Formats: sequence, structure tokens, C-alpha cells
Amino acid sequence: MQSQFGNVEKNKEGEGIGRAVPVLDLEEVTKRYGDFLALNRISLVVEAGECYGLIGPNGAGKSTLMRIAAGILTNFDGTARVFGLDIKRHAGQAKARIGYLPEEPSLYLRLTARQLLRYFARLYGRRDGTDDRIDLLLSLVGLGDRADDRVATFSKGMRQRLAIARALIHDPELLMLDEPTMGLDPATAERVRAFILGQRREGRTILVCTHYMDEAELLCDRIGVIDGGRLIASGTSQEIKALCSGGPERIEVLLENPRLDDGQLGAFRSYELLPNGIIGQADFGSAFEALRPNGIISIRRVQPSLKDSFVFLTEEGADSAV
Amino acid sequence: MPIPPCSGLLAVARFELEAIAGDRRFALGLVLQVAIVALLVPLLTDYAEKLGSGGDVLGTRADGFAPVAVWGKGNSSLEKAMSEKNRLRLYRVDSEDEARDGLQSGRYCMVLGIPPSPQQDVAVIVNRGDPRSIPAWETFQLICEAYRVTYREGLVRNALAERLGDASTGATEDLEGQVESLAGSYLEPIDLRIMSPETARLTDVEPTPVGNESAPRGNQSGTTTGPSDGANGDELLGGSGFLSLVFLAFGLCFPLFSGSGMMVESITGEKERRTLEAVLASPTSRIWILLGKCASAFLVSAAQSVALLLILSGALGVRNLPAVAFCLLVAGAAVLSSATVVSILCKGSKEASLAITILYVLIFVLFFGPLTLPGSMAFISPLAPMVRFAAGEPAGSATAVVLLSTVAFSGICVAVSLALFRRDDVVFGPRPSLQALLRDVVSSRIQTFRSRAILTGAMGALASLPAMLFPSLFLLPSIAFLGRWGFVAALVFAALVEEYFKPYGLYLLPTGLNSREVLALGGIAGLSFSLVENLLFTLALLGSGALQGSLLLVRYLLAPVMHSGLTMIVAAGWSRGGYARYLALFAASSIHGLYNLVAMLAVM
Repeated sequence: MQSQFGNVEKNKEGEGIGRAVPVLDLEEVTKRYGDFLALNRISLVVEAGECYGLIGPNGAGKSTLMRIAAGILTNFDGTARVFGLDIKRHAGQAKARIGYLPEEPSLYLRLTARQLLRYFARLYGRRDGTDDRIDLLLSLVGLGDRADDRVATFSKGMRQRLAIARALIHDPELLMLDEPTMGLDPATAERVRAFILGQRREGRTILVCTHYMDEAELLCDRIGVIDGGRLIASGTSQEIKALCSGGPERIEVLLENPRLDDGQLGAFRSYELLPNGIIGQADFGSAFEALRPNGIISIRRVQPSLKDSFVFLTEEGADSAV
Repeated sequence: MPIPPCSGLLAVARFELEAIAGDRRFALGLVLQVAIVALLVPLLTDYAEKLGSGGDVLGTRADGFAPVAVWGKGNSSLEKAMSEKNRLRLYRVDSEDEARDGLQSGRYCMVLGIPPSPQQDVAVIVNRGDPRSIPAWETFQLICEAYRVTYREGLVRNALAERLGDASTGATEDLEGQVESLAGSYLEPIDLRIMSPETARLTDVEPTPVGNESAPRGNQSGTTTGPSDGANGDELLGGSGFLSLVFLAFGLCFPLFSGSGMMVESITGEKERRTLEAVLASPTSRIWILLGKCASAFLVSAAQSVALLLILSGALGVRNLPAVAFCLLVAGAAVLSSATVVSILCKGSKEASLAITILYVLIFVLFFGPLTLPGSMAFISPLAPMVRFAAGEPAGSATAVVLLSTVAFSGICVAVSLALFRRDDVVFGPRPSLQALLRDVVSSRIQTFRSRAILTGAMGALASLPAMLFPSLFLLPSIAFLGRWGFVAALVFAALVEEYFKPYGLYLLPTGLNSREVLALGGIAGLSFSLVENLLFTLALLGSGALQGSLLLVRYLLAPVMHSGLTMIVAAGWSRGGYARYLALFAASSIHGLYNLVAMLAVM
């Protein structure tokens, strides 16, 4: 499988021969729903073997971007290339190399897991060895013993895992996962993350869209922050965090009395409560003054988290990009 | 490696067929549908028979009628007497061949040949061994008897008058004896010649001397019914046979609607459940996915229809089975393709159910409505070719026109479906309104002033349709409920409808046109509307025979000016947007309504 991911290949669009072609290359992609601007001139490159994460608030345009990259949405302005193939003009060839997990598993409940995977194998033009691959994938996602059960009897986590198996049925080179762990219990979410990490280790290129900052940090080599249809930041998690350098400090305060009222919490821009204190974004002096009545044991500056950066970027509407 | 398109199409079609086979309730429903229609056959044929023979089927008002073709001398007293009877519906035909064709196809139950002179026999062509099985035969008989009696009385009276004239000039014979003698010589029945269409022609009828005693019942008189009686599916023909064919068409239409249900489940259902997204992520293009879904629905419908056709053909004696099957498939494709458009447009199952129900009503009206019209109009029904072939009638130009039109309609629906299914907003939402969709399509193709002028002009001309339809629907109820004020309301309503629809072409153009262009386009729309309206008005006057030159002159001078001016007002308001649109429409409608009122008062 590894050999499939060497992306030094002839560019089908004739823009160069022997040049490393990005797995995904979006240029000035703009998408409107009526009068609503869902995506505003987004440009993005994902290289081979990379895991790229898209984070952003609800309605930011992550799923729309994902659908465009997967060739599902076709009415947009700009250019989207997958393995150098224009997704509008060579949709069939491009989509044959993409595995897509939608935001909702969207499975046919009346079918068994095996029937469902067989249908999608046919849609992807697979004939030979389909049953073997189905068995392999179902085992891989932990559904080997439920292959002949109807999807309607599956739990949400099982359905999500089956949907992942469906995305892999044709052994795609690029895997696009839209909110793969949303709504799952922690154990199942962890299992899915481990699976994605396994795929990444195998060298598969992954584009993942998530709400969870720790998940993005764990899985992704690079992260893009989308807000209001614009890609407002893109880079490694360290680079994204560094964008917060001009913003409020991140402060950890340990307290004798950790019970805080709304006025005291108001000194923090964003925060997390600790068993014996608080950690969050705030002005150092203001936080000190606000929390002093509760008996400060210690107060120190700490490195901002990805979440802090995300809140900072999406609230400030920063348009800088790394 | 590219995937062959047929591979995706077959995958989708197979999936849909397996889904039906796996859905026991749906599969059972399909089988039950066939079974129920098959079980209804005896009931339908019995009903047709009773309806055709004027029997009381559902009550006193369910009397049937017999379609009779009349050929020969026009405006005879016999024809007038027959046309007054509800049970006989007379169709005047131009030639004997036309009458004969209609008889063979089942459009008419008999042909009445009226000779130029009352002294000749009235010739009747039927195609049954026993004319008493002809619908409303008794009614027909009674009228003929009355005709004969009246005619004989006339003859006697004339002869008596002659003899009396002779008597007054000196004749000495006994007058009473003369009357009896005359009456005896003229009280011979006039023969009703009953013939078979295969063996006789009306023109073969020779003047028959008075004195033929043969009764009009049965086949014993003159030319007989010929050897084909009882064979070749003759039971099919006649009034009840025609109804049987309509029932056949009716029964065969049921499977077409189950295919529509499949399309709704397959497209709207998948949109609603969001399972379509993963399918569209596959390399199979949207075209092949849609065609795969259509193909599976069509296959199921076709299989069901053919099964029903085979069952019904045995019971109702269908003649040209392959041709009927072909017509059925053509009609099925039209139903299915229009259901596909609806399925793609609808957001959810509830909306789709409502839309499909409305579509079913429209299809029923289109299919069966024309069959109730006079023969010259009945051919426009997409079922007409099926009925004709089932009756053994050869394909004519009308059949070809209807079949080609139905195929063209299906093609247009498929093209529209494909265009809609390619649109992200239609498939994933938010779905634009129908007008916004049209505007989107139009504005991307129509860029120049000339093309815009053509569009607005054409739409202005087309606006005459709703302008005729809606007010006529509104007029009677408004007068019934509001009296003379209802008439005024109808005039105002007509003005409102016209003013709204005239600039419809402008509504489809993008906003932001300059005001001069908007006014010019509004003027063009109004002008083309008035041209069509004047033309229709002239035709109506010609038809009624009340053509008044002065009225036409005034109308031809005033209407274009008024329509152009008022449409310009509406167009200007539309281009400004907001409340200006409603104000302009209100102002134009008010002026127009006032004009209508004044014009009406002036005419009265």
C-alpha cells in the first residue's frame, strides 16, 4: 500500500511533469448557498502522507470544504485538485482515490454490514476479492462478528465504525473524515482515534474535520482554522499557538478557596476550572486582583493551548496565515 | 483507473431492485396490486356491459349511452329525434370509411346510414350477431318505429289529400274504403337493414319496395352480419367494448404509479435520510446514479404492467398485444420521468407525497379526460394509442403523434431531472424556490437585450393562458356569492391576474437591469400579451358570428396601448423592489379593473 502514496507523478492537467503533486490542492474555492457565502476564497494544500485537520466553530464551512474536496459538491468557484486531477472535470478518477466519511454515518439500516459494504464496493467498481476485503475491514473496525447483522441493530459507535470501513472499501489513498468521533462515547472515540492514527502510520493521507482541539492536536501534522467561510490560520499546532502571542496571557492560578463567583470568572476570556484553581486566558494583573480574596497559593504564566488559540483566532477574526 | 459508467448504473439499479425484493411489505404490495386489478376484471367488464346497455349500475343516474356514428343525409328528422335521447350519443362522420373504422375500433357501437330519400331503407351497421346486445338498442328501435309511423302517416295523409281532391272534382268511390285501402298499402314497415362491417357497405343499399316484412331484430333481414361475428374478438367492440378498453387502460395505469412511489422512496427518501451523500462520494457520476434509480423503477413498473396486461388481455380480448405493451411502456416512461422531477425537487417524504398526489391527479385528468371528449379530441390522451391498438385498429398518424409527443415529454422530464440532480442546492439544500431556479437557469443563458426581449415577449404572450383560466374559474363563484358585485370583483380579479402574469419574463431576469431596459421589456411584454388577447377575442367573435368591426377597431387601438403602459408600471415597480412592487401592481390592476368596468358598461 505504501507504494501508492508516492505522489511524484505526471500531472494530468499538464502543468508539469515529474513534479511532486499535492494530494489535495484547493485554490480560491468559493461556495455560495443562495445569498449565503459558505466559503470565501479558500486555498489549501495537503501533501502526501500528511494528516491535515480542519477546526472551526459550527457553520464555519468545514463540512462544505470537505464535500467540495471529496467531489460531492460540484457547483463552486475556484479550483479543487485531487492528485492533480481537477475534481470538476475528472470527478470519477479523483473520487476513486478518495475515501469519505460524512458527518453523519448515513447508512442503509435495512442492510447488513456485509451487504452495505458490498454495494459500495460495486459503486467503486470493485469486483475481485470484495468479500475478503469486507471481512478484513470489518475485523479491522471490530465488527467481524456482526457482519451479517442488520445495521439497524447497531449502536451509534458501531455505525460510525462501519461508516469508516465503508470509506476504506476501495483502499483509497486519501481519507476524508468529517467529525469522526462526534457523539461517540469516550471509549469508542478513543478507538476511532487509534484507528485513524494507524491509518496515518501506514502512510495514508488524511483530511480530518473535528470540533475537538485535543483530537486535532493528537492526530494532525497541520491544522487549518476556518471561521466564517475563511481559512484564517493554517500550520502546525505549535505555529497556531504562536499566533496567540499578541493576545491575552494564559494563566494558571491555584487557590485556597476554589469557589469563584461570576464576577471573578469574568476576568478570564476563556477558562477551565481545576479542582484547586483555574486555568485560562486573562490579563495577569486583572486575574491576580480578582482572585486575591480567595487566597492565591500560586499564579504563573503557561503556554497557550490550541483551544486558547482557536478561541482567540475565531473571536478576533485574525486573517493571518502561517 | 476509470470505472465504466454502466458499472455504477448497474450497481445502483441492482441495489434498488434488491431493496424492493428485500422489502417484503413493498413487494407484497406490488403483487397485491396486480392481484386486485385482476380480480376486478369480471366486475369491470360487468359494469361496462351494464353501463353500455343503459342498465342501472349505481343508481338512476348511472344510465349509459351508446355512441352511434351517423352518415348520410344531414338534418333529417330521424337524426334529430335520436339526438334528443340521452342514451344515444350521435357522432356525425364525413365518410362511410370513417364510420366503419370507428365501428371496428370500438369508438361507435353502430353506424346509422340515413338515405337521401325517406323511401329508402335506413341502414344500420352493427358488428354483433344479435343487435339486441348493442347498448341502448331498444331506444334506437323505438325511435325508428316512431319515425316510420310518422313517415307512413305523412304518406297516407298526402295520398288522401290527392284522392279527396279527385273526389271533389267528381269521383264517386267510397271515401272510407279508399282510406283503408291506402292505409293498408302504406302500413308496410320500412326495413332497418342490419349489416356487418366486413361484408356490407351502406352505399350498397338499394331502395327497397314497400312490402318487405322482415323485422328489424336479428340478422334475418337483407344483408346478414357475415361470417366474422363472434370471432376475432368481436365481443370487444361496441359501446361496452369501448368502456372495457378504457377499463383496461385504467387497470394498466396502476403499476405506473407504483414506479413513481419507488422513485420518491429512492430519491427523496435518500435525500431525507442523508444516505445519498455517501453514494455521491463514489466515482459513479450523478447521471448514472439517477439513471440507475430510474431504470430499476421502470423495470419493476414494466414487469408489473406486462403481468397485468397478460391477465387483462385474456379477459378483455386485447388484439395487438405487443403494440399495447409498447404504448403502455411509453406512457409509463412519461409518468415515471415526471415523478422523477418531483422526487428530485422535493425536500422530504411529506412534501413528495403531496406533490406526487397532485401529479397523479394531473396525470389522470390528462390520461382519461380527453377520452371523454368527442372523437376528434380524444386522440390527445396518451392512452388513446393503447385503446386503439387494443381494439385492433392500425396505427395512424394521430397515434404516432401522440406516441412521439409522449416520448418527447419523457425526454424533457429526464433532461430536467438530470439538470436538477446536478445542482448541489437541489440535492443538498437549501433548495431555492422554483422561480429562483428558473431565474438562475435563465440568467445564465440570456445575456443580451434581444434575448431578454424575446423572453419577456414570449412570456407576455403565454400570460394569456392564466389570464383566461383564472378569471373564468373565479367568475361563476363570485357572481353566485356576491351578485352584481361579484361581477365587478371578477373584473378586478381578472385585471390583477393579467397584470401579475404579463411581466413574468422580467421576474426571471436578474435584478439590476437599468430602468430604461426594464421599461422597454415591460412594454414588449404588454404588447405581445395584447396581440394574443386581441387575436383570441377576434376568433371568439368569429366563432359566435357576432363580428363587429367598430368594436374590434377600438380594441385593437386601445388594448396595446393600455397593456403596454400598465405592464411598464408593474415592471418599473418590480425593478425598484420592496413595497414598490406591490404598489405598482396595485396601481396597474386598479387602472386595468376600472378600464374593464367602463368598457363593460359601455358595451352593455
